[in-house]
Amino acid sequence: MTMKKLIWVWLCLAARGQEPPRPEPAQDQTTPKVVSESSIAAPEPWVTGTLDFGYRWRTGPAGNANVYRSLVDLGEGPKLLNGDITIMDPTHRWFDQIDAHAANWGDDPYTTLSVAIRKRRVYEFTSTYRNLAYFNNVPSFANPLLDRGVLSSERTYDTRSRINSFELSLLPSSRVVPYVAYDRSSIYGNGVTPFVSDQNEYPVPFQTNMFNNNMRGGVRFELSRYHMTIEEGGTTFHDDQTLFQSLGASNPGNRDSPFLGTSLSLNGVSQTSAVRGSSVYTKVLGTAQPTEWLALYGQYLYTRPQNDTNYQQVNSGNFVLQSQALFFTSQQSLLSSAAQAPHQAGNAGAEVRLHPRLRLVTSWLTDRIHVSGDSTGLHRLSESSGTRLINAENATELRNDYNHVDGEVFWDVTRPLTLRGGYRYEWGRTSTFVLPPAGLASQDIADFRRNVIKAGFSYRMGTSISVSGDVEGAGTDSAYFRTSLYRYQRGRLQGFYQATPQLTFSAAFSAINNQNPASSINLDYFGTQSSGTVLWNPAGTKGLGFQGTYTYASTRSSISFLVPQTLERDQSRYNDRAHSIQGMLDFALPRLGKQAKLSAGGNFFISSGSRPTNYFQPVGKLILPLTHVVAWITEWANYGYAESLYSYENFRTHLVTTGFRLTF
Amino acid sequence: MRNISVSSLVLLVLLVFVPRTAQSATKTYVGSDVCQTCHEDIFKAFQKDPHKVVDLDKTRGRENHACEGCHGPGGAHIETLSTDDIVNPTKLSAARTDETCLACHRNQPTHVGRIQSGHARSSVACTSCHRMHQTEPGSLVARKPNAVNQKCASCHLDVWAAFQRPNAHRLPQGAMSCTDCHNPHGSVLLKQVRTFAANEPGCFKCHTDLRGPFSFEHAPMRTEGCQACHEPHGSANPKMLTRTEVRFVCLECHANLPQPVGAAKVIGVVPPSFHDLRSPRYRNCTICHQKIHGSHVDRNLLR
Repeated sequence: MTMKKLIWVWLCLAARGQEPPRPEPAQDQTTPKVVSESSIAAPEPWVTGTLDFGYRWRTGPAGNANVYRSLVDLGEGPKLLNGDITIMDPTHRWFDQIDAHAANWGDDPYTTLSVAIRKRRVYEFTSTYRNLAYFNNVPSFANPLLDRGVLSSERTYDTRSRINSFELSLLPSSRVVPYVAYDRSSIYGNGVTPFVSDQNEYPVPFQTNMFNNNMRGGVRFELSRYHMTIEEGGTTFHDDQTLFQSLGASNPGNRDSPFLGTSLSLNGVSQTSAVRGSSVYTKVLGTAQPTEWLALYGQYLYTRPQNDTNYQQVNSGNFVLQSQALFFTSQQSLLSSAAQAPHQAGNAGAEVRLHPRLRLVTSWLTDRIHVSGDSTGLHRLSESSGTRLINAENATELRNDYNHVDGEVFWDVTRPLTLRGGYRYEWGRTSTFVLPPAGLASQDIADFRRNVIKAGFSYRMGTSISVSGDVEGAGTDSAYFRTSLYRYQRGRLQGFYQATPQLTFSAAFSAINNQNPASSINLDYFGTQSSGTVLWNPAGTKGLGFQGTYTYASTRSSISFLVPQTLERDQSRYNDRAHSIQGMLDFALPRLGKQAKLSAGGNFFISSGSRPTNYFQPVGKLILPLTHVVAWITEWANYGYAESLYSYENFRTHLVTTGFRLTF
Repeated sequence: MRNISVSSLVLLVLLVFVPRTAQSATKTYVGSDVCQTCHEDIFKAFQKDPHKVVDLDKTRGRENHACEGCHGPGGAHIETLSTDDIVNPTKLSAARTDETCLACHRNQPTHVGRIQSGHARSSVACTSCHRMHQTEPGSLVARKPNAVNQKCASCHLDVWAAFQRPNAHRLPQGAMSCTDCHNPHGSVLLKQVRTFAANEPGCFKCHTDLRGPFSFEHAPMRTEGCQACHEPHGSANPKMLTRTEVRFVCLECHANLPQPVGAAKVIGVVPPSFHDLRSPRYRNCTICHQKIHGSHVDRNLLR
């Protein structure tokens, strides 16, 4: 009880402290200082914003807690739910405005912070920070022991990813804008992953620590009709992974059934891999509008990443190398590799206004990457009769070229109606090889050509009606993969109608049909998405408001394959029919305050087909203003997950969050 | 006959270009202060708008002409007070609206490729997402992830629905926004996917460990991209895979069937899968082939 009183006292003090600052005393008005026009016209508080904070309770979760953590992972405890702060300096000395936004602080799985600072005609600074938890342990994935009732995947992760971005643009003039930026992403944590030895795998703990730094800087030149940006950048990459099982420990992956009379087991392993990488890159972008009827653009993008890797592995137990009919009791591997990938891309295009109502848009693009690598290593296998050394040296290459030319004509039939039609030709080649050859996996090469015809329309009547649609069809006699787009048609239709300022409707439909009738492929793919939404907000804060969206999506796929153990042909079939509903109903509660509101709704997903799944996320929210700066906020949310074919993954939980919103 | 053709061509050129030149000669600029006389509220709000900087821009000759920078010369409008005599970009065709905005904004690096972008092709004008003269935060440029997502979802209804599936990127939670992966103004990559380090897919900004280059690459990573195996917006399948079980994702390419007869060769048929799929071990391909995105040291992507 005492604690509650203290909290109330603190909140009241905080609320008073956040009241808008009072006007400056009279003597300040006589102080000779430069005051901007806007500050005289509208004396406003320096600091404005909102802060939502509170405490969250959670039940359970009932059912599979690992799957709950993999999909939701919201926990209990005190939270800073949301924060928006704007600081405006009326003196405009160091900055004009600072905007900060924070969300989900307090050990939530996704924490964000963004800060933007700007001073007109001097600089702009933006930064973002994200801290994302990635937990993944789904029993139906990567779990060979599932048939024995083991509900734990052999590939699990409990990692955190931190992503930071900073960018500073200097604005010394309106024609030249230099900028610098720095991004960093990192992933660290642990989990379980298999240690793979020929004919068997053993789940063991691993740790990972990876980061990437990206530094770049450039200059924008902005002339009246010609613009250019030149940017240079570079990255550094660092990836350490460690996999370890102490000697003598029993591994759950040890084989119960002997392989050619020998039990395969792992007694201990230590595996480390260290990757160090870097890259440089260049961007040159340009646009030009030499006349009113011609606009040109082009860009050249080049990067050259490279990685060097050192890998060490020591393991003991009973293992087999089937290709050499060799059983051995310990292994030591020392490997090193290097790879680089010069990658160039460029495109250019033009928009030609042939007539005030007729435009031609044409473009050309090329994208070429050439990955080359090598790997050398030594494997020392110890067996009862002695030690065998195996040298392994490989050289690899992957090349991929992709190109297209595209032309499209736009005809503004009337002011609201535009028709368009065009053609695109795509072509390319990809090849891979590994030397020396081993088995059938050494070399692969394929060409690709595709002719695409496209057409579309858009109709826009003011801001109240818009309809657009397009279709595209392609025929080809080549594709890179069995599952690639081959002979396909796709279409899209989208509409928006604002019946009244308070009532709007939107609808969208899209479909794709892809067929590859080659006798050894027999690909038949068809997918559709249909959506409709209503937004009804009749009386602002004085009544009801509703927003609801329904989407139906279906996928049907079938493709031939050969069952390895029977050498019989079969079809891989996949079906998914999904219904999604997102909705929110708002009730204004004017008797309880101007901002008082009760909301109910949520997201509901139901699918049938190859993996029938229900995923319900109903939610209810209440906002009750206590004073003009403090409001009481409460939210109830429920997460219910159910799969009929994998019922051991189901879970359900309730989350209740309550706290306060400070508005200042 | 040849003279007639040349004459026709000259006539056509005159018809196309002369009227535009003649029209522009009759229009005069009046300055932002004159606009303030009637449009007081808009003028006041505009003092905080980033476009206010145009009023101070001497280098482009637009000093004190910020209003007319977008709305065109106001000379005729102040004489007649008719809305027909002033340009309202929201009522122009999308291409015309874009032309107005791109006159200044064409070179911000993110806008290169706008001409070719899907939004431009579908007549989605700049003002569809960037609302001028509105005082709500984010109406001009949405910066908060939830605000960005809300804008995109208002048209891309089916895509937003995909994010409500159990395995999805964390957009509904506000941890990410659509613009983390897509550049709505256009990109050198398909689907307007944002680039990382000049020309690589933006996926690698977060999934940096999958960028490579690897000594042993898995070709679809370079040719088809992540969506060869993953549904990037969301899926009912674990790991956002395109199929319920990993084996079908793999077997649909590594199908053990010969190259198609009478058609061009496809890749991925080799290496075929010889494993006995009756064993649960082999039904979970990525247990062993765990470096499925590419390996630095193993040709079979085992470590």
